[in-house]
Amino acid sequence: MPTGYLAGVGHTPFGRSELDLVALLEDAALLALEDSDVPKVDAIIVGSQTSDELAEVANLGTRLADILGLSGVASWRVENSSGSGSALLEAATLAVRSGAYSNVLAVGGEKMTDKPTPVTAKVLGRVLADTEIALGLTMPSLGAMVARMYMERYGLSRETLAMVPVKAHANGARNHLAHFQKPVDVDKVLSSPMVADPLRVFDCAPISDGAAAVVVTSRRTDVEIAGVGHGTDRIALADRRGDGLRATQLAAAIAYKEAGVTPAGVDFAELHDAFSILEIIDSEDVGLFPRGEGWKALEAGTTSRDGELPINVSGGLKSRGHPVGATGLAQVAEVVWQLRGQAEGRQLDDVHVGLTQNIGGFGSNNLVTIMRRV
Amino acid sequence: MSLEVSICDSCEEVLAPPRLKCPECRKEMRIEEVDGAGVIITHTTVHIVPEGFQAPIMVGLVKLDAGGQVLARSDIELETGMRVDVEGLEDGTHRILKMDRVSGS
Ligand SMILES: CC(C)(COP(=O)(O)OP(=O)(O)OC[C@H]1O[C@@H](n2cnc3c(N)ncnc32)[C@H](O)[C@@H]1OP(=O)(O)O)[C@@H](O)C(=O)NCCC(=O)NCCS
Ligand SMILES: [Zn+2]
Repeated sequence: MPTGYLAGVGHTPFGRSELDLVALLEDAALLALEDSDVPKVDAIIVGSQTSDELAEVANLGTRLADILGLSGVASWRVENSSGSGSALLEAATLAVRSGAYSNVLAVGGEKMTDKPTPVTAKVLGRVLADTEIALGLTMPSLGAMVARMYMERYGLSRETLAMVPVKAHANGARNHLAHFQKPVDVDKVLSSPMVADPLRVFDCAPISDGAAAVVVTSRRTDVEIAGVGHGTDRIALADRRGDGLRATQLAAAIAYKEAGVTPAGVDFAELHDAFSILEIIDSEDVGLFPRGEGWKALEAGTTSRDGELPINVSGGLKSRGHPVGATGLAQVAEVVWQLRGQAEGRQLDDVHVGLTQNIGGFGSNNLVTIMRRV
Repeated sequence: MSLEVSICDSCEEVLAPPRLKCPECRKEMRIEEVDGAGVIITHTTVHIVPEGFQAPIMVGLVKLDAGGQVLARSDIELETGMRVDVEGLEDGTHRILKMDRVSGS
């Protein structure tokens, strides 16, 4: 099968920004183009979860082509809620693998801080099932129910769960693009306000502005997109069966098969920790640890930046920030920097294979991507 | 109390609230009124609520004795493993009530 390679990546600072969404997308795109030696892209794919509502702007495809001086080039939008970033990479990879295009620019971003939190929470919650929306539930409420279920089933304590954000903030302190760059301790996490019991503010990814971009090419570079997997699950949490997130499990199986890699061959991972509990569940769903044991690896330090299998060395969604449409590509940018040896201030030693896992909806539409240094 | 569910005979799947087609196999689902008895498998109290709602909101995920699961609002404090009764409401949502009867009666 023909493969795709990463030629360039770009990543704006995440956090509260003065820039509007289109300016953020433009910045990320220019950074990715500068980072690549591709003379001209022949397609643009833009992504955002909800630009129409949160940023009040539409027709992103044309706007980007226009503003980048690429008017005339094919340009379209991909939307897969908070999984838009990885879906952009998937679309660009498929476009290149098909032979239809040789160099594709994929850009994802979100402008989330313009609206007050209750409005943003409502808009983000539109990805949920109608029955969940009708009850007044938000993304963190579903995270809370999943957290309680896991804690009671597998004996995870509230204190150990707090180690996810503590690790995230320690890592984010080394990432100059991160929304939060300050370490926190377990007490700080456990004394933050309750959002949805048992999850507190520090268990949740923040509301952030930002954008990230990649250039995908058919020409060999130093980073191969070795496997791309994508799966879905029933939209309502009550309708799902089995443990963990099926959408991730399906995506991971495809990505591993395409890449010809097993979980033992993964050197580090960027996982979708929109809520602390998700990092643990994700790490099991992608097969890095057996079911119910992800938290033990966390507790033992295996997933810390100096551990055997570092997870979210970028700071993850928690600390890097979570401009929903940008996140999947920000994860990819981190993996590329690590594989190239360019992760200034947080470079891991001797890494060859990196994995990203990105969630759309509340775990209903997920992607796993495996990248390899070649 | 009781509620309506839909059943897919091929997938042996029970879903609440009811829907017309099975999400796995697209076959038409059979709609049935079942008893609301069940057990709480997880729950939360939401403190930061979306625009248009009032905090706090208590909700629980109930595994029905009749099969399937339903997410419902509650006015009573919940605990995992607690036996409860679920009532289907006119607006299509559900409410969790204290179990004050012998289940299934
Ligand atoms: C957790 C959440 C409700 C907090 O929002 P909020 O209560 O409006 O917080 P505010 O914006 O008023 O910020 C208050 C303070 O808390 C901090 N803060 C906000 N969110 C934070 C977070 N997630 N973690 C740590 N600190 C946070 C702010 O920096 C601010 O600090 P300061 O007073 O020192 O400046 C919000 O971040 C949220 O909804 N997160 C989830 C987003 C989501 O669902 N994403 C999609 C998932 S796929
Ligand atoms: Zn069926």
